[in-house]
Amino acid sequence: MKRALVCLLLVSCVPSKRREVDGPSDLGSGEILLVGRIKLTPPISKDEQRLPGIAEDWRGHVMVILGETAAPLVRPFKTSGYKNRIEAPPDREFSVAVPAGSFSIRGAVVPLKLDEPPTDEALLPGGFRVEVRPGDRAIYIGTIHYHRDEFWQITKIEVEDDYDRVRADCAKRWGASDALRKAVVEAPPKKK
Amino acid sequence: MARLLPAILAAAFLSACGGGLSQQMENQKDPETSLIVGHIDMKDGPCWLHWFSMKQVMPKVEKPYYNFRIDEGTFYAEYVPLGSFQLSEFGGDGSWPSNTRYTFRFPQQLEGLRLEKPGVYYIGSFKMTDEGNFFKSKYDIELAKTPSEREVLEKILPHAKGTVWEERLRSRLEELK
Repeated sequence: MKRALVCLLLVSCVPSKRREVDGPSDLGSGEILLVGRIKLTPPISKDEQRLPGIAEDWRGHVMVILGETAAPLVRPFKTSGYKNRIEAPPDREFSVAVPAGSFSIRGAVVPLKLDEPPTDEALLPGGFRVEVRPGDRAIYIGTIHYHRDEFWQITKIEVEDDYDRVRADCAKRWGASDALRKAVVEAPPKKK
Repeated sequence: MARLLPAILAAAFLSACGGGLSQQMENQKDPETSLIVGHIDMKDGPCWLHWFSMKQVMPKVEKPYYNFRIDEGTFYAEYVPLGSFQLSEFGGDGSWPSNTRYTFRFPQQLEGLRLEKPGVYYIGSFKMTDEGNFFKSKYDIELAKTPSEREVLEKILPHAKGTVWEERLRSRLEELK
């Protein structure tokens, strides 16, 4: 009972995420639509995550953390760090509203243990800069592909360009009036 | 009091044996198993080391956790198969009359151990530190220079008596001379 209460408190304290939107028509003023994808190889397996029932919809998701600067994520990662996260699904692109201005992807978080404190998570490196231009309505940043080993050490980061497929898919859903600009991010240089 | 004493001693004995695991090693049942050994100095911790465990992450198995035998800060297990392992958790029970159980977990995102051939592997000596203050403790562990691999292996040698591990430990100790 006590453990359930702690889990409930832990998860209910998680700040709000970026609003998911289907297309530019759902945007508010001062917002643009951000489309991209996070891929993990190997993918997160079920036994790597211990999540309480209340956080079950986080399973397999990667939480992308944005910031004005590319300040790296550090341990201990506090619950407040999830503020304005993008909940990237494992099998498709995310599509969220963000403020219309350039920003950085500081990194990403995979929640590994939330069933009782202390929590545990894998922190994935970031350092991607996203340049937003005046007049942008929707931008595509590519697929950030993390390769990892069995100890959650990142062995390689690639950025894959699936623009043609994603643009065709968006055009089908949005109609021809709204364009998705290609703004694929660059993989940060590998640390020596 | 006379009746209580055996109960307390039994509890102390149990915890000194790593939660029920005997300190005496067994003979190798599978030639592909390894002896893993290390040490944690918990003098600055809230309890003594009573258990230590490791989790197998590759290949995936139904029962991935391995509990270690304990001898005063030294942890060892001679039945670890080939594969990849993460340090999982360790801890102990607070001294009598406290009934607090202290568990310290290693983060999952941490370099682990890849066992590709059977052998005797010393994974290091660690020291628990308390960087907190009078009101709140903040425990961590760091690598320590002592005890050395030689001292740790010498400590567990008597527990390997009569098993194949005795000869292997002796041969490793010869190499360390």
